[in-house]
Amino acid sequence: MFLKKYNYLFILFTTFLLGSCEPWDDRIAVTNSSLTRNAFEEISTRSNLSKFAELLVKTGYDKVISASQNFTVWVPTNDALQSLDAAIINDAIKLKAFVGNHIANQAYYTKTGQRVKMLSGKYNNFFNKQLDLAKITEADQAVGNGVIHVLGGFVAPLQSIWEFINATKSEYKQNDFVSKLNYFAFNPSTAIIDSINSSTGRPIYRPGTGIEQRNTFTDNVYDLTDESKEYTYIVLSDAALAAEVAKLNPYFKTSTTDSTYNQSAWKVVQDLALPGIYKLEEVSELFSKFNVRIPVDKSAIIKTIKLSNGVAYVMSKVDFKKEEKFKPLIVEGEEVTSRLSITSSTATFIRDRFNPVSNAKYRDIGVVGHGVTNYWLNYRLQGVPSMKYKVYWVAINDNIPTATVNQRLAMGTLASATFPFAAVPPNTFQEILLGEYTTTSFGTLNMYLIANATNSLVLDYIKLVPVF
Amino acid sequence: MRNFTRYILQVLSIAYCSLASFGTVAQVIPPQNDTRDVGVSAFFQNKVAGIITDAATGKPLEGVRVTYKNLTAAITDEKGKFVLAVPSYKVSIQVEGEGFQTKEVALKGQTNIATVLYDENHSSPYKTVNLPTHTVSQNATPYSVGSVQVQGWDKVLETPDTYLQGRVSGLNVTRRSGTPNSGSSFFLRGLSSLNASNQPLIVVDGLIYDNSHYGNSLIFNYYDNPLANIDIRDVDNITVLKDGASTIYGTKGANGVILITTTRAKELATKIDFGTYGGINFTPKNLPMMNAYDYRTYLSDVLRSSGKSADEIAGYPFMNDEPKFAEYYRYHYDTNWQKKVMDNHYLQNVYLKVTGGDNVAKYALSLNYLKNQGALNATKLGRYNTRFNADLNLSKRLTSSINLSFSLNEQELKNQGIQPTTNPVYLGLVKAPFLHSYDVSSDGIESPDLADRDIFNVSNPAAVIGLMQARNQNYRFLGGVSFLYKLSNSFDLGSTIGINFDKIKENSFVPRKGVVSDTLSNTIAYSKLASQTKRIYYIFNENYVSFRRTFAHVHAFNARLGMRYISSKIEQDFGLGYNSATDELVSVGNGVGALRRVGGNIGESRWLNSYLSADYGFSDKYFLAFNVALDGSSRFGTDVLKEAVKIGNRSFAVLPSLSAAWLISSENFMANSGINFLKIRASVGLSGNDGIGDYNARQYYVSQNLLGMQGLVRGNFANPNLKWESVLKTNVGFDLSILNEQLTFTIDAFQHDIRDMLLKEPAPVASGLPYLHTNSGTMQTRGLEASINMRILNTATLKWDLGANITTVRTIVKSLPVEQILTPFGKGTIVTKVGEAPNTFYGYVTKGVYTSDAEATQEGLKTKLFDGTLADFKGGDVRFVDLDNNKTIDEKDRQLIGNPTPKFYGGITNRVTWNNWTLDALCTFVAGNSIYNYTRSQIESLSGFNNQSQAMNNRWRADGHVTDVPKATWGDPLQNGRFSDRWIEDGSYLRLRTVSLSYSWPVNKKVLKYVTAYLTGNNLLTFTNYLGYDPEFSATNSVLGQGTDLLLEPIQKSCQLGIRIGL
Repeated sequence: MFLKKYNYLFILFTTFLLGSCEPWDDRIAVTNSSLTRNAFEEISTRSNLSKFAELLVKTGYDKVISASQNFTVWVPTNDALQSLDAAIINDAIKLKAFVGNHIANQAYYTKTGQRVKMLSGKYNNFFNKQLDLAKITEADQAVGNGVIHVLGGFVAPLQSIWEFINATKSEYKQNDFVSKLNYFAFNPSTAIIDSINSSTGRPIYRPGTGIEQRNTFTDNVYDLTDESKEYTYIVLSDAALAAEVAKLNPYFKTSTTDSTYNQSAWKVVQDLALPGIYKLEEVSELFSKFNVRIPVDKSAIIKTIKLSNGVAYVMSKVDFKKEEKFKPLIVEGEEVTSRLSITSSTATFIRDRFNPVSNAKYRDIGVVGHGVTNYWLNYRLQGVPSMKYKVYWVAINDNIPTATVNQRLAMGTLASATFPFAAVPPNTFQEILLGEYTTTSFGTLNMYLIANATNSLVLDYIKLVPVF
Repeated sequence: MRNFTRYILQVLSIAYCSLASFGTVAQVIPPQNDTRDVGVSAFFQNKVAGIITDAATGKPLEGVRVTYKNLTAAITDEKGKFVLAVPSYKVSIQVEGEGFQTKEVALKGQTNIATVLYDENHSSPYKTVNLPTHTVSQNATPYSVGSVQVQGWDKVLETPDTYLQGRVSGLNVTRRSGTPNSGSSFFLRGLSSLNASNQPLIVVDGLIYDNSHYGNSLIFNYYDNPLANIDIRDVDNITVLKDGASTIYGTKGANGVILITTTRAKELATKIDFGTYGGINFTPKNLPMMNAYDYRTYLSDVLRSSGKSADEIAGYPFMNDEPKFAEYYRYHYDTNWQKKVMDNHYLQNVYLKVTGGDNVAKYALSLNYLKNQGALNATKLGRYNTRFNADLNLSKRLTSSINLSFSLNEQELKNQGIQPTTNPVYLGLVKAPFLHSYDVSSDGIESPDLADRDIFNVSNPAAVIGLMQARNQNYRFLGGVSFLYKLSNSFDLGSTIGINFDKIKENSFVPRKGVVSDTLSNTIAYSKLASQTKRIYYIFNENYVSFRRTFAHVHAFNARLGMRYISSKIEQDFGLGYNSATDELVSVGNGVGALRRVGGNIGESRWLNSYLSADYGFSDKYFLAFNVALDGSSRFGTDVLKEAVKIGNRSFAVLPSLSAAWLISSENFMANSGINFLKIRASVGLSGNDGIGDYNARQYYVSQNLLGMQGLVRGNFANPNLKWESVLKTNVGFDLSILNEQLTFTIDAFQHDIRDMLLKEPAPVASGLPYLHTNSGTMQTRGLEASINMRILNTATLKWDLGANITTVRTIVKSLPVEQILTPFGKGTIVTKVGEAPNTFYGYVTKGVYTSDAEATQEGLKTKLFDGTLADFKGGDVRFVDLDNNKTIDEKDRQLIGNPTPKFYGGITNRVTWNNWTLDALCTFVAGNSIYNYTRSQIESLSGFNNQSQAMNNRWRADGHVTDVPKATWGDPLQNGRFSDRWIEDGSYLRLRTVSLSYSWPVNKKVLKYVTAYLTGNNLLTFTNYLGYDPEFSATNSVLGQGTDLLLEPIQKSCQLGIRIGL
């Protein structure tokens, strides 16, 4: 009875209670429904992406892109995947590399183009609504853990230049040569330290650790294994390589043909890689890392091979000018290889000065008051090509106290009398031509700066200019 | 102005002289003994007959006492009839019956009256109000007062301040936080000061109660609450003086006066009340923070925006999903940190009260113990209250009353507010959810050791809970003795002496383990140890002579001339230490010697208040009251220029007030109207606010450290003109009761003109001090308050009372010495500007988020980066409004974006009794106020490693993404999170504040007087759109900082079950 009489109040009260809404509910509702799904869930909900979704499951990448880090997935449509080689689909390793080549850590939007590292370890260029060459049809679809872009094509993982070199050793002698420039080196950062030597304080490494294979080409020219960068690599046909090597052989006279070949070939190949991608069809010349002109004749391009970190051109001819291959050699006076040992109080000055002729700072050496007759300094140059040189020096006699500077340069041996003694006039900043000198074989060249009697010595640098 | 004061003095002296002459007249009239002998009725020729019935049943009431003053009396017979001798038919007679209301019935010329009586719980216009000088029935006072008869047995968690919430119109009570004992901020009828106190004066049993806070607590954002020393069950009545009547307290009355009367023994028989309670405080509803999954995705976005490469990001240990990785387990939890810092906790309470006595002495003794654990883990309150009230009849003429109370609070606390390294509430929100409270080994085994601060340099909330200590222990002794000597039937001499002694001891320890270190000027503080003692001592004395007399049965006089004196002394001493050797050494002496710091404060003040209060009533229909106070205080300057008189070389404030009321319903012409009660009131009064600081009028020096040398520098310029703030209060209102008193209204309109406001005026740079204290600036508060009480159902078994009160108030700054005053608070800015409400939020206005770079470029706005260069807004940045159209978002684009003062506030009371059941509910509401949600600005900053609210999953991701949440950017260089309307929210709420259901068992009265069980729920339902834990909080005591959600412990829902036994 009582309740009946007041049940309308009760109903009112209950409505009041239930009608109360939580202010946060509206606020935390995610307005963009795709943000409630992770990348994999989003791909799965789209019927035109079902094939790639299958591949994700097959490779286990579905779990990866469901994780709470940010990912970018470039998803080829079912139509695009029609043309995918069955060989890739059926090979687990290749498939994993293929799928991984469409996924990157972190969210990348089309707004800022960049070269993106994929989970495959490869980098793909992501510029202008394209992943590499595949066009993006639906860009910037934000999901809960990143972003997906729908691709009209796909980007199969390519070989890197280095992989290409190794894979075509038998095809191109140049690649065979480059791939054999390997050596082993010790890297203390990867070696395991067993103990510390108590007397020297130096680490004792576990035998067999820290040894790694390196390559002279990747060390000295460009690291073509680096996927994050892009390079242009030129492969000479075997004939072209032979021609270029023949051109250089006279300058690498050694005791054996092989070693001459190795030197000549190295001199050829070191100018055949460039950072960045160049379209050789559109240029007439390029300059290598060693500042050697690379003349490009587009008719000589036999083949263009697109690679993951650049491009390789196979060319039937690159006609290097030998004059440009050999640059003048400069030996700095202060960089003495050895010297006559002396007991008297000698002052050897290494001086930082300013050269008013070249308008540059320089550093030179002066030996004063050595008191030794025919005191000498030795300069040893390695890998000097066998050829004729014009020999210059810059010796600056600028008021060394009480010093008469009178010296000569002996080429090859101490006794060699190629150039006579000469007094060095004060304050002469120019290069002074001493004469010509021809080396007979490739290799080491010793030079001696010899004092006339006990006169002082002074030298800024020696310059050997090749004469062809 | 001098003329004005002279005038006041003349009035004073005339009033006093006339009082004295009345006194002489009084001697001639034959003694009118306090007799209720019906025989005396022969004294009067006129007889009035009447019948009194029960309003609930309609049956006649037998044994009801009917009196005319103390002169004639009658008792109703079994038919409810009575006959009473009265001097004329224009007077009013009093009716009172056991268990029923006390009522005044105006005869209005009638010889026969019929009236009904309601039960004593009925809210009638005749309820008792305690005025500063005497107790009257509300119908006979010209003041605007609110009176609450306290029923606290079902509300053990309330303190007198929180109890008042929603119960008195005009009084806005805002609880500081959910921490037990934390108390409330009062704002009575709007704001009355900018820099001085806004808190009403509290008077307990005639003693001025020190409710101030001196110096800072060591525990951040903690305020000990002096009112917590009064148990709510010891309170009988609370009366709030809202208008000019507060003048009688002179320069302490500007913010209104709250008079608390504690319970005393009413009967001689010994009565024992015992109550025991248990309850639970529920953990607040968690804010929806990101889980580990969403958080890590968010982190990726932030790290990316900081310029880190994909490989660098993948290199962070928390991004490594390889289970063999040594730190895999450490970073793969999904912890709800809010649950680690807050939980359900318990409370228990025991209360005992004994009252009794004999003809000579009556006593009331109560003991209370409360153990209350708030929501924050490892916090608790232990409260012990004792109170002893006694009334002694020392001789025929001399009576005395004694009030002694002692209370002790012991509280374990945590830092609150903007303490990013140690506030557990904050840490519980922002801590990375993939971490764990304890150290975790590389095999995933959890250690019993708490984890240290994390890779993001965020403290471990569990360590703050488990290892940090913050303890407050305070006690208060308040003793008062009053004597009343009856000089004659009309004259009394009274004297009250009170002593208050408080001691507040605090200790705190911030451990090195798990907590981010603090950087001091000369060292890094790994751990912090602190100790503090505050002593507050004051003496109160009041002496008065009072006069009470009715002439010719129509001229009723009631006057009092008195003097009050307070001498107060506080001392605060603290010691800080740092870097104790281990976390086991927690007391301050263990700090490193070179880093030790000690300091403190001393404050002394004296206040002398002389007052005259004179009430005059004519024929119980026309009431006039005049009050005037003459106040001197050590806080004032010696040479106050206006509204002051000089006595000796001191300046005294003169503060008068005048109130008048007309009880229209007692007029003869109202005899047959449907209106049971109608009174119109008007008052005007000047009161003062002396909360201007003890020493701001004086020149003083403060200590200054310079490169390790101690010296003294000037701390203030003397301002001998510095005076109290003045508030001129004007009030008009009426009280109306109709439908046989079933419906009662009260409406009041008021205006407060505040002038001579204490302001910190910017001082010239050359002075070396930032500002001067001056009396400049005026403010005006206007408002309207209304209350309604309804007895909707009134039968013998079922009674339903519904009451509501609402207040609307608006304060406007009228003048300032400067154009505007900007105050930084939190990360926001508060502005006080002429023509606007004081302390409004001042920031930027936003219009959503740019959906794309193109959209941002089109608008072409820029802003200054932290390094001073200009940068363009881009897609995903917040779209700020460029107020001055200079294409740059700078501080000139700020505007008023919200006012923390509510436009409306009030309460709804509801009480249903049905047989032995009682359902009592109170709803409170505020509306139209803005809140600066600092908490949300921290959890939605999108700028760092702090965990974010789930709403941040909607953050802008790429061009074309339409959302109102900006992008995540490391360090927020474009300041999308700057103080703007993004962080301002509507603070309106309606809350089911308390609801209690009680049941009284029918018991054998010979064994037990009663047994009642109470089931009480607090804060069970809150309707609000506010996005913080709770829309009610008050981070500071001042008007500045109100409405800023500073990450305090949120107010919690709680439930208690209690039982009360009467022996």
